[in-house]
Amino acid sequence: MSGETSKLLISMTCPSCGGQVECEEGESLAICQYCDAVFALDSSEGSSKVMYKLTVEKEAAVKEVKSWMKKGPKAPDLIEKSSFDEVYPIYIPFWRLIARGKACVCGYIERKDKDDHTIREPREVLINREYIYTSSACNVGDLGLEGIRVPENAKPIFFDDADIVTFGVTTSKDDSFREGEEYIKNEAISDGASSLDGVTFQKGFVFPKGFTLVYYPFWVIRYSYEERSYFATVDGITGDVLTGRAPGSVASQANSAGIGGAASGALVGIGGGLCTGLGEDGGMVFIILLIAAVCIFYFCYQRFRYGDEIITGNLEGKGLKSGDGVGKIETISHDAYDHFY
Amino acid sequence: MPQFSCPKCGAALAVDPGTQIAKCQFCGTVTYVDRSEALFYYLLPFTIDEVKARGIFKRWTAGPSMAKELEHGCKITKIVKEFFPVFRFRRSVNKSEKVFVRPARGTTLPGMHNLEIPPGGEVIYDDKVSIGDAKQIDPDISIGSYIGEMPGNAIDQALVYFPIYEMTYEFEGKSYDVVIDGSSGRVYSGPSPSRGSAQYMAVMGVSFVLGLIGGYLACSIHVLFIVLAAGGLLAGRYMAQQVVTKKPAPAVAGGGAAAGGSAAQAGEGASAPSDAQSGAPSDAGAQDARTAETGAEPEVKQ
Repeated sequence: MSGETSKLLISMTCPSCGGQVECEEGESLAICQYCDAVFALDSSEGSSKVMYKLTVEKEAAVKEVKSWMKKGPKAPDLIEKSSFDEVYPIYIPFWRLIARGKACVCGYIERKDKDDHTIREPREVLINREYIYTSSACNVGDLGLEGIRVPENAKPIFFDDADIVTFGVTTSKDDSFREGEEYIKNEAISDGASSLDGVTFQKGFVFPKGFTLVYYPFWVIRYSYEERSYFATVDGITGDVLTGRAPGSVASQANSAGIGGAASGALVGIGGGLCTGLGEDGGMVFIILLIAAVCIFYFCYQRFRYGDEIITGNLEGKGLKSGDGVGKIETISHDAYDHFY
Repeated sequence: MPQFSCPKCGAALAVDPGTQIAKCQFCGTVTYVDRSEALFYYLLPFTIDEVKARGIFKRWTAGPSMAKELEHGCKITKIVKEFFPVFRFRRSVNKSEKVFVRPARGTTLPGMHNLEIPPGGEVIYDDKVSIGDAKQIDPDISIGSYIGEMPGNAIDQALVYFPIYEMTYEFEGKSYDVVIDGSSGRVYSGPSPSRGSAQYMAVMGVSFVLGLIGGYLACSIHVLFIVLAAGGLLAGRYMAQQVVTKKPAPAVAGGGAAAGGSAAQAGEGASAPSDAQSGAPSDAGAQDARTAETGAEPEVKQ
C-alpha cells in the first residue's frame, strides 16, 4: 500500500539549494529559509483561510433563542412546551471576497415643474464603494446559513478542527470567486441606479482585494414542540438568531383571517357607500380604500395561509417569513467615494 | 483509505481531508499531496438520530402546504438509516476549479438526483470509522464510467458517503417516500399529500363579504350596520380556527370529540373524561349540544 501511495507525495524542497521549504496551505509564495530563494507555488488548490473564535456561551445562545421564540406570530406556549434536545457548536466555511465595486450609471431623474409638466434631468452617478461578498462554501442543507457578517470584534484563531465539528468545503473556489465578482458588480450598479428614475447606460467593474476561506462559528439548537423537531441557529460571535423554524400560533392565524377579511371588506364597502354618496370625489376615495383593502387582505391572507410554521432566514418550505436573514452582500459605506453629477 | 508515510523519515503522515499540503509531525518535512490519480473515501457522520429524524418528519407534515390531517393521520411504515454514495470530482477546467457530483448508485429516491452533498464534517472513511447501526449502500456505478466524460484535468476525486434517512409513510391508503438528510435535517420529498388554498380563500371570502355589506350599509343607511363587519370578523376567526387547528393526538380526545381542539371546544375538552366514564350516550349528547351551539359549521368537523 505504501508503495502505491508514496507516489502521491511530492516533497517540497527548494529548487536552488535543495533545503526543506516551509509552506502552508493557501500560500502562493514561499521563501527558502536557507538560501532566501523566493518562488511561486503553482498549485491549483488552496486559498488562505481564517477561523474565528466562538465567543458566545451556550447559555447565552439558548437565551437568545428563547427571546426569538417570543417574537413574531409563533405559538404562545412555545417556550413552556419546548424541550431543548441538543445545543452544539459548528464551524461552517464561507468564501469571502472583499472588493472595490465601481459603477458608472447614466440616466435621468424626473420632477414636475410649476405647470405640472414632467421634466427629465440627465444625471450621471459614479459609484466607488467597498463590498464584501460571503457565500457558504458547502451546501447549507436545512441550516440555511448563506452569508455572514464578520463583526469587528471577531478574533481570528489558529485553524483547529479537533474539538468542534467543522463542515467540509464542497463548492468550487473559482465558481464562488466569479459569483462574488458578479454580485459585487451588480450591487454597485444597482446602488448607482437607486438614485435615478430611469437608467440609459450602466457599466460595472470589480477590483478584488482579498479572497479568503472563513470558518465561522454557530450554535445549532434543536428543540421539540409537540413531538415535532424544530431548530434555530445562533451566530457564535454576535449571538443573533440567524435562521430557524418555529411553530405558528393558531390564534394569530385565526385573527388574521377574521380581521383581514372583515376589515378589507368593510373598507371596500365604506368606499362603495361613499362613492355613491359623494359622486365625483367618491371615486378617488373608493380607489384609495380599495388599494388599502387589497394590501390588508394580502398581508393577512399570508399570515393565515402560511402561519402554521414561522421561518427566519432563507429556508426551504412555505412557512411564514419572520425576521431578517443575512444576505450575501455587505456594503462598507464609510469607505465610499461616490459622485453625482 | 491509503495510509501515508513521510517520504523523508518514513513516519506515519496525517493528511486532512481535502488538503494538499501535509507536514510531518516528526521531521517537519512539508509534502505536497498529488490527489489527481487517487480515489479517496470520505464519510459524513450522522448528526441527527432517529428520534430527531422522526421529529423533523412530523414537523414537515405539519407544514402549511401539507394535507391537514397528514400529521396525525400518516403512519411511518419504513425508516432506514443509511449512507448513500456519490462521486465527487474536482477538476481544473480552463485553469479554474469546478466541482462535479455524480451518483455512485442508481436510485429513484426523492432528492437524490439533485445530487447535493449535504453539509457535514468530512471524515476519512477507513477501518477505524464505525458506521454504527446504519446501512451502507454500495456503489453500483463505477467511477470509470464518469472519468472519460469529465472536462479538464483532475485535481482530486472521492467517493463520499453521506447520511440519509429513507422513510416510507402511508396516508389514506397511499404510500409515499421521503428522504431526510441525516446531517442538516433537510427534507426531500417526491409527490406528497398536499392541501390547496381554496378553504383559506373561502374563509376570508366570507368575512370579506360580511365586511363589505356591513361597510356599505353603514355608510349608506345606518352606522350600526358596521356590526355586520364585526360579525364577519368573528365568523372568519371561528372558521379559520377550524381550518387551521390540527386534530389532536388520539390520546387527548377520543371518539366523537376527536375533531375538536379549537378554542370553541375547550370547555367540552375539559369535560371529556366524565363523558368517557358515563359512556356513549352522554358523549353523543355533548356532541349534539355542541352542534346546536355552533350552528352553521358542523360540516367542517365531519
